[in-house]
Amino acid sequence: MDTAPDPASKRSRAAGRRPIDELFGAGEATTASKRVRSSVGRQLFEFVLEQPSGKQAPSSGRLLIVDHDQLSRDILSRNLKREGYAVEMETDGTRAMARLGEGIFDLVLWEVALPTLNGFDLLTKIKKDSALQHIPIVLLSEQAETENVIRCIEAGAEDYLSKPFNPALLKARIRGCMERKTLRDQEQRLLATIKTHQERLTGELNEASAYLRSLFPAPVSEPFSIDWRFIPSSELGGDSFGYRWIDDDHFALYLLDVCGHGVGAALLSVAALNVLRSGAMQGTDFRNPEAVLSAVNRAFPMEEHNNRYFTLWYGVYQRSTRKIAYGSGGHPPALLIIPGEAAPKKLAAKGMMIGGMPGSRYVAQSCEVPPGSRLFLFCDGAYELTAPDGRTYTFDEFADILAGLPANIPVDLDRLVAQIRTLNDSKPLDDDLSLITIQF
Amino acid sequence: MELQVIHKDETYTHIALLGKLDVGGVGEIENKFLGFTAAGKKNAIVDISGVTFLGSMGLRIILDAAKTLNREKKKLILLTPQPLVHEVLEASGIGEIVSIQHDLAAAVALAQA
Repeated sequence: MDTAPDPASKRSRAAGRRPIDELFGAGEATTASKRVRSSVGRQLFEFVLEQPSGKQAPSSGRLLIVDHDQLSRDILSRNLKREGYAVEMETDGTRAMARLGEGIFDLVLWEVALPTLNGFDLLTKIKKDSALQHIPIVLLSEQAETENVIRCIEAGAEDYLSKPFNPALLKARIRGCMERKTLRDQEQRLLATIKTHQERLTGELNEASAYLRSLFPAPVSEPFSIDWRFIPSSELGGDSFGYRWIDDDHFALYLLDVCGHGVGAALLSVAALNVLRSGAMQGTDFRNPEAVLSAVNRAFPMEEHNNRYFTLWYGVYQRSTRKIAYGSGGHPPALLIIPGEAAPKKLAAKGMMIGGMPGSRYVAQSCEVPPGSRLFLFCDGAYELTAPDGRTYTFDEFADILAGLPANIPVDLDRLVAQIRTLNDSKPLDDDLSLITIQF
Repeated sequence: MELQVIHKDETYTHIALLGKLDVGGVGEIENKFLGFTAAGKKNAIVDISGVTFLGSMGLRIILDAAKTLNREKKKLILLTPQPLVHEVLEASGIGEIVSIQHDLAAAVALAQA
């Protein structure tokens, strides 16, 4: 029996589309298609096909629809294309998985009960794949599949859409998913940028740290043995030190500690160290600690160096007299342990921190260094440590530890550093640690 | 780190610091400290009996304040440091531009002079 086409079919044809009946092949009576054959379903689908796209700006993004039901695919495709999306379609789960690997899709709409690969199995697969796990998956479900949908949402699905599709809901949800995807992509790009910058910065800091270390002299074994350890509290420390023969008779030893640590402190530290190691201060007698401290104080006023000062201990050992002359710009004393003497000798001298005040006076001291003596030069980071009970260790407590080291064997600096770390309750050091020992 | 205002008049300001004057502590009170000392353009007594640790950054803000006041012909007076803190002050040579007092009456007399 011939039947006159209904008004909805006429509208579809006028719009260049096939009516619903043509979308359903005779053999395609799926659960969903059976449902839309009802008059309510037909009206809803016609409504979907006729929906204007609204006044929002066209959307962009590439979507993949994976559904073995042709009608669902067509409806979704038309709606989404109308919204401005580029849409591709697949009916087979295995082939769709392969397509995901192309990395071109911003969002995938996947039938939850797809016979070749259901939604849950899909999610389990892609969440294990770092190349695919960021792709948002929106599940397409029948009303009766609530439990499956919940399982899939828990497994990481972005959202779900129930068939038959409500056009307003479809539009809003896809738009929402795409916005979240855009934000996540932006976040990923930002994180990647931060990571790149972080890696570059770490590389540069490591290079700077290697440069700083390259300025430190190698351990010496003749005519006396010198060894040292340097443990910065961050990538770059504010401590630096050195030693060198000024002439055949005078040997200079120095350690400086810039206030604070990090890049700013390290830059000043390197600048001052290079002056001391190269002896590049015209008219300054580097055999004279007073002259050196005064000259360095003139060269590095804190107002011209990012408001940073540094402390400096500078000593000159004279081989012919076995005497050491030393001065200090606000630095803790060095410690001389003389065989046969009960208490270690503090090599302390008065003087303002370097750069603190123009015209500061530095007064040098001197003392004899009998054979077998052992000298320790260090920064305050070696003993300004917090004990488990919260108190701070004192210089004298650290001096006692140094004095208690066995005199008949070389100082084991690694063991000493380990002991310092233990004093600090094995926590990371708050300050740089520099420690030099000379066995005369 | 805590900063308390003890006294304030036209001649001098008297404040007290309590806690650890390390990098973290300095960060907490630096602006306030310099506001009550360096920016005050008058003598300042800083009671540091409650300071349990004085690190290099702590010395820096004391030095900053003292130098600024010195330029104004004013004094920074540190009052009753604990032994460990006194040791650090001594070693730093900062005594060259700050006065270290162990008696409140003497500190006030100095601040009012």
